[in-house]
Order: sequence, then structure tokens, then C-alpha cells
Amino acid sequence: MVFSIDDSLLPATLTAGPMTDEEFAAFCSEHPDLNFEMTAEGVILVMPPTYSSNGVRNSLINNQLGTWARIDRRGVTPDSSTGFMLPNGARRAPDAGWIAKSRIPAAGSVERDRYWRLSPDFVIELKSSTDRLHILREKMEEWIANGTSLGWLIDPEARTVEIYRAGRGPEILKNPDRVHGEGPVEGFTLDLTEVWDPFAEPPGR
Amino acid sequence: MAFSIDDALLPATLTAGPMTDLIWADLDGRGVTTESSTGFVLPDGARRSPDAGWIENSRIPADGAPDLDEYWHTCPNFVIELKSRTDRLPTLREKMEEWISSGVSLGWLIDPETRTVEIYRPGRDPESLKNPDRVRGEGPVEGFTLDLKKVWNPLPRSPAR
Repeated sequence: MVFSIDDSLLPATLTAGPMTDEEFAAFCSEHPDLNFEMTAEGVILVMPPTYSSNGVRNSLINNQLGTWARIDRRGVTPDSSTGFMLPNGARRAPDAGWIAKSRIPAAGSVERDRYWRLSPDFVIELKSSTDRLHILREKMEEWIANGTSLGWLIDPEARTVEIYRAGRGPEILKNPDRVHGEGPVEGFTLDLTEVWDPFAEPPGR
Repeated sequence: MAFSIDDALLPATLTAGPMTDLIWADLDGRGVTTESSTGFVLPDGARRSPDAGWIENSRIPADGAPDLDEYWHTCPNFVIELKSRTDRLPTLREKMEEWISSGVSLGWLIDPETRTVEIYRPGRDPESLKNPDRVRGEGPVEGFTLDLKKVWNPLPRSPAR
């Protein structure tokens, strides 16, 4: 499906018939500068890239989580363009995530090289100035309902972190300097000072 | 602290340090990195997003500039595009050419299926590396080495460990 859409109209939704992984991925590849997700109801969400400063923030988050995961070795980290097929049928992408190696589809399985049928053990969503908070909160609830153990919703404008866990209401931290991992990512600590102020000169440089 | 020295973003000379300082760009200090959802508005008006990018601090809009919190009207100095199985190579090659003509000094197009890296530089034809273990930065990212072994083989062979 080829279409062009003006940035000023984004984010937008499209309706389409059911698509296989290959069809959905091929559709996304036609538009390498847009981001796509698909809801459980089959509605395609079309999203523009995030604003540049927020991309730097997300890169800092991914660097911290990815570095920790490499040292820890129990799991792998996808980046913000990585799709997963959730148990409810939605194709979703977290801004950052972590998946235990034991849950990675087996080598040689068809799924291994397509969208993994799982919800990551841990996800982070980073709110951009154009994201609507209630949409992101619904997305966090969807992650948890589909098997994610821990989710952090980070809002750099409000400097809040909402912590989502299975079976509990969200906990809200106001202006924290750091947030500590638990459950699947016990041992990981995210330093938020550089997320709040990504262009500050680090001390001692 | 124990970690494996082949980690892609770690300089080989590094032996220890706070975890958040282990990233090349962070250690280097001359620029910042962007990730795959990050947009830029190029000089020709196109809005593009590289899979990974590095941009020197001097190109970041000033505090209070109207584009600081929107799309920066500049392009990264260095970009990486990672081909997925469903991406079309001609489309990505055109995108690399667009990056270079827009002011990118160095671009790497990485294809994990064929294990090739195409290196794009202004005023030169792309150079193609076949099955390299690593690729070395130059120009804006002199000093950075990308270890490709984890890119070619990112996952454990057996999921049960």
C-alpha cells in the first residue's frame, strides 16, 4: 500500500484488513521515516518521528539500559523501532525494553526472524511533547495486561515517572534523580538527571 | 566491574568506569547520539530519521531556539541505517545518498543478511566491506569502532541458558 501523508496530519490512524507479519513489515518499510503500530482491533497508528531532543533523551535511556543488559547478560534490549506481537494481537513497539533470553523464540523457528509473540518483560515509554498522556497510560496498561512485569512511563516535561506493575495501580515518582529496576530488571538503575537535562555539561568534564 | 570488551560501543582501551560512562559518544564528549525514532528536518525540507546518528554539540540548537524542542533543522554528522529483511536496498541506498548530499559526513549502511557494510562519504562512491568483524569511524566519529559480531549474531544460539 503506497500513500503519502502530510506531517501536519500526524499522528493518524488507518484501517486495513488483517495483515500477516510480512505484509505489515513490508508496508512499514515503504515508509522508512514514519513509525507504525497496530492495535488489537487492527487499526494502524501512523506516527511521525519524535522531536530531535526527545530522540537524544531516548538514546540516553537506551544506552543505559543496553549497557546494563550487556553486562548482566540475562536478556536483550530492542530499540524504539522494534515491534512485538502481543497476545491480544496488537503489534506494538516500546521506546525501550528488555526481554529475558529464555523467552526469545528458538533458533530456526519462523517467529525468530519475525515479530516475536510476546510482551517484553520490561518496557519504558518516554513521553514526547506531542504525545497525549492518556494514550500512553492506556498503552502501559496494555503492556501489563499482556504479560509485561514492569513498565516505566517517563514524562520529561513534568519530570515524573509512573511505575506500572501487574496487579497494582501505578506509582508516581515526582522529579526523581534515578529509578531502580525490580523484578526482571533487578539491579538496573536508570540515571534520570541526563534524561531531564540531556545537554547539560557533565560535572568534571 | 566485569564486562565483555567486545561490546560494540565500548572503546577497546576502556577497562572500568561508571556504567553510564561506557558509551563511546558519552566518553568522547563532542556530540550526542540519536536513536531510530528521532527526526531531523534536512536543508531540502525533508523530514528524515536515521536508525542511529551522532551529532556534534555545536550543531544542537541553542537554548531557547525555536527548534530546540522540535525537529532540529540540521542533519547528523554521522548516520547508520540497518537494513531489515523487508527493507528494499535501492530505497536505503537513495536515503544514504540523501543524507550525504544534505551534509552528513559519514554514513554506514549495514545489511545483516549479507553481512555487508556500505560506507558513504561526500564526493566518493560507496565502499563496500564484506563480512567485516568491525568497522572503524573516521571524520566526525574518529575513534569510534563498531564491533559487528554482535550485530551479525545478536541472539544466543539456544534460547535456553
